[in-house]
Amino acid sequence: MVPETQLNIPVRAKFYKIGSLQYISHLDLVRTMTRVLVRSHIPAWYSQGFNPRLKLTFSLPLSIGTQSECEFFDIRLTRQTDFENIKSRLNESLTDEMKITDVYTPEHKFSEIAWSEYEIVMHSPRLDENSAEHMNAICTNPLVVMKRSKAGDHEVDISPFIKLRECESRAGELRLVALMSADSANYLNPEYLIKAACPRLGVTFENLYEDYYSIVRKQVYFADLTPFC
Amino acid sequence: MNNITPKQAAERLLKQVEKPGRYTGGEYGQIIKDKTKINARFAFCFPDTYEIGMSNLGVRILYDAINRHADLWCERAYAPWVDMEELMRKYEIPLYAHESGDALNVFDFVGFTLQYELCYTNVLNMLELAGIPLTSAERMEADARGEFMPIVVGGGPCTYNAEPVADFFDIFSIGEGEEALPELMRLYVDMKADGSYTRAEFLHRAAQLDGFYVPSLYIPEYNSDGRLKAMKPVYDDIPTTITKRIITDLDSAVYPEKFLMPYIETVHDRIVLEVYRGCIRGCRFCQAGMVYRPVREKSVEVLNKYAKLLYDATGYDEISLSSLSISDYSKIDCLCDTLLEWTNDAKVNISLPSMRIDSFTKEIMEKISTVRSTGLTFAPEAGTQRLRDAINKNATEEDLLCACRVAFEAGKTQVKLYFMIGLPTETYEDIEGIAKLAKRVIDTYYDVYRGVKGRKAPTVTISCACFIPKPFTAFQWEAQNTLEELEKKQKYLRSVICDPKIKYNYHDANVSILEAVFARGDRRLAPAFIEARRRGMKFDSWDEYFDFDGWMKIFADCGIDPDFYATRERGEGELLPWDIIDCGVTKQFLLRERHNAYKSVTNRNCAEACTGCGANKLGGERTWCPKRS
Repeated sequence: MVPETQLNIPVRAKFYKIGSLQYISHLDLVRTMTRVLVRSHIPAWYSQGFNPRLKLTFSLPLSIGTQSECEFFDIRLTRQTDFENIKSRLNESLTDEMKITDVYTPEHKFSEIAWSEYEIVMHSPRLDENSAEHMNAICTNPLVVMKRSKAGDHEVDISPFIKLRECESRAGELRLVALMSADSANYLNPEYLIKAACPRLGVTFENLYEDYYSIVRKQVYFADLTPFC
Repeated sequence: MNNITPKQAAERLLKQVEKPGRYTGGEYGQIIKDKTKINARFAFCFPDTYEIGMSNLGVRILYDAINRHADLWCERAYAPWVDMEELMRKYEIPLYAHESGDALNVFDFVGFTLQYELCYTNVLNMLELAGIPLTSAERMEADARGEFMPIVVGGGPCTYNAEPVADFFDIFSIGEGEEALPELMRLYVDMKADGSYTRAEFLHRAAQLDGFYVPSLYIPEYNSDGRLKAMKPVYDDIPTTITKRIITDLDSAVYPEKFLMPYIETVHDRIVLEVYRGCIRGCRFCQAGMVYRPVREKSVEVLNKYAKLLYDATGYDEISLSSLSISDYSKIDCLCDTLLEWTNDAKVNISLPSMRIDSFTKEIMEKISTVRSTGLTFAPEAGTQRLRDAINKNATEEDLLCACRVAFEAGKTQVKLYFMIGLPTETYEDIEGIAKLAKRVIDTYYDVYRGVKGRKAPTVTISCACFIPKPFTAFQWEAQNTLEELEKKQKYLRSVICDPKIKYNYHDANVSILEAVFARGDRRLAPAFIEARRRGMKFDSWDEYFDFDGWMKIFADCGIDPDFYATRERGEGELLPWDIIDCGVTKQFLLRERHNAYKSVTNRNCAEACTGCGANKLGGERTWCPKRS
């Protein structure tokens, strides 16, 4: 039997993933979102094979331990459906730490994302008013780290992939906002910056209770630094 | 740690541990209540990892059953993995409940589900991590000093003989808990409200409720040879045996309409539909088959209703029909057909995880979607007809070969066969029979594909567990084989397998010996558990942490002879530690079945005729039982 012609409407959803959901891996997120789409009865398009799969594509994967206010996924609809309606139905099936903020028709590919903006807040009794200045120096001079990849470990100067936007500190706390490269060739995980900077700032993580940090992805950008949408 | 909950404190450590999603809670379907409007709080503890605990249907049912009461709040806790435990101990973070993030020691009730004996050390570890004294007696003393002390409750299959850990629990809930636990909490709330509450008085009154066993109110006495002499109740107004609770009508019983949806992958990530409780079969080695009697079914309408509700509430793509032997459900065809009316369109698979070999037909095979799996699993349990008759398995070699033929004709190439080694009356001929049976399954494959070229070779996997004589079975009096006997039999089987298409694996006999000690033990094992906690024993059911030599050393140091519990045959007149529990099935019935086993005489199942096990005295709707007069 020839299947009925189905509509195939691309739709993009923007969402945040914060709080304890920072500890959910990308793979678990994919599985979760599939179930969320099913239980909210979104008429999502399935691959037409022997083993139909819901077509679901995410933007940049998020590392465990990183929160985000700016994530995206694309699906396709088999039926014309009101976008606000999709948003509210999905949100009924989600918890407070992950909600859809926008649903719209995509005009750009995820591969056009070139930069991610992160807010990093570090806590440590070793930090003080001068830490911001140190951090500035760390980010603007060559910063060589050992990067792991499938091809093996190798040394890379990550400073070209960091654009420090804001940096301030006071006793016990350092807060910075930085853009980091997000294109597939030079994707930079903010953990590399933290791991490289902490020893220079005297933050040891010997006591996890005193020394801890949070990372939040705030925004993603095109290569020309206009916000991705 | 000012003004933050233990959970918030623990979150600072999560970047350092494996699978941090185990410790955060916050799942869709989690129930959060306003603490100020709650009269009693219950921490439901699963003494194993989050992934295993979240898969347990009993936890889901009881979480729902308690939380249906507006003034009661049930939360969850799991055993932290060793990396997290180390950090929690280092930073002195007490074990907390996932919902509120509060430490377990502020809860009114801390309940553990005891699913298998090897989780006992985790129970003690969790109590210690929560800062709760390990024994009931210590908690009573602390309470007398004016310290707040939770009531520690145990439930689940191991409570049919939880004597080895009785000292660590204040109350055991015997049987099905969805009505019983809220009743227990209501008693607590009422006594607190009318001012009659003292810890001692509460335990006394709890012991008078149906289905609650308060171990501290029963004092064991022993004969000089070590056998149990008596269990003496300390009050006249508490029962001398505790009869298990059952839900009589499963159609009207509470069942969750929503599931907690774990974010991380768990062991059973699917809708579990409980089709019926109990089992009609009466295999003589099987504890579940006895203690969950009488069989009570749900109706097709109710099951279909819950299947739809749960599909809408979860988005899962698989429904697992759960029961001890799914093909024995009286309306299995009707149930599958009713579900299939909508599940195919919804792209939902139906799985039947417990098929008997004599019920595996082409029709059922075509109905269930097992397209993606290349193999099937059957459990003949024993290698010869004589032994299968002795254990009342009631399945023939022909049944097995027929089932395999159906599977092979449908394109399967792998069959897994479960057996037990060390069954009562077993001979080396029976063990050789396992290898022969596997060979005949291979021959069946080649018979199906005779003359067909280019077929993949079949694989038959033999998986052998070691028999453990369990309480409330016809074999509860039997001696377990010694370690040497079990290992000799395992080796012998290896030596008689001559076809490379037969894969053979077997359970570690050491584990089975320890399980037998815990399963049939009595209260004199308590010092061993305290010592085990002191020596850091935990996760005994995990290969990487199981330490047989460590346990043998503990037994030796505590003056405990494990053989007294595992390999000693009990006298038929001997008072057994679990005789204090009445699970419905009578000792007379079990004795009759024991003697039938020796004669290799099978018995009929509940669907064919009543064999008088006694469980019908508990009542029940949609049962096979004759109505009580």
